Amino acid sequence: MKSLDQNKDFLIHCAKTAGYRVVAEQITLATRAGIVAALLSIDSKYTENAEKIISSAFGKALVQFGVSMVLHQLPVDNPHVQALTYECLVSSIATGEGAVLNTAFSGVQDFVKNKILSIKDDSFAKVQESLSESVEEEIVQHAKTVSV
Amino acid sequence: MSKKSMIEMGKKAAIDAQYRVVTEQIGKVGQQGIMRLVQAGNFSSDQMKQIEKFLGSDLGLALVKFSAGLAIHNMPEEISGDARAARLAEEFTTDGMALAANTAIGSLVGEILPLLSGAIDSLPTPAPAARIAETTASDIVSESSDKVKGRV
Repeated sequence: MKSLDQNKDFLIHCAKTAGYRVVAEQITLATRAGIVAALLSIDSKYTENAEKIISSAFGKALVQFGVSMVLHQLPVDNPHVQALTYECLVSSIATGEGAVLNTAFSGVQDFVKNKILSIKDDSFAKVQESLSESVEEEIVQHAKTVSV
Repeated sequence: MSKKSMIEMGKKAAIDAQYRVVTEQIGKVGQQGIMRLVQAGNFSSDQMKQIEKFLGSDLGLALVKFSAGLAIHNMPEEISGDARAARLAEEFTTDGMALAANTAIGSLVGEILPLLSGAIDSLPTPAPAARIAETTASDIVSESSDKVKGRV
């Protein structure tokens, strides 16, 4: 267990990094909204597809990468801007990777879920069959005894 | 402070992004696990249902990540001393804080700002007060000019 001061230092360090992350996220959101608004103002069939791409996770990654490139090209030698550039770059890579992983695993998850459900259904059907057979036999035996 | 090249930054960013992706995936799994635990309890009280709802939200995910980060950071030195574990703890805590802040900003922009602007619109306009101020100012000017004329 760390001491209170160590925890305090750790939280302050994390809060500083989180600040850059929040700013990067808000810049991305604003840029995306601006691009989507600009695309919607153009009346063309291609803009619909472009808007869908921008609104997706891959679009977000693309916008974040674009923002990081623009920030990197700014003629400013400021540590905050550099930190923001780096944050946008990390976010773009992470968003892209996350989207790929989610797309890949959603198919696998559905497959496994369907398999489990089908196994459950089969076993339930088998139990039902065996039960109905045994009940039928009992009924027949009971009818025989009654008739005798 | 000299600028780093984009390729140099990209190499370092790719490593940091791995930690972020792992954090995201573990966070989601952890949130779902806690949700299942709460759901398995079959609690009927409204308070537990509220807690369940909170855990399912973005703020719940932020809380899970933040707690996980602090938990890893406060683990025995054999575990938390490892550079990867330390980096993961930092990533969890930072992501939890950032997610909570982004959710708060999102709700502020989406819900509270329209309410505030509506409340400001419903306030009475300060036109009469402005007119009174204008008339008194003009009266003072005219009075002073009359006095000056009288002296002349």
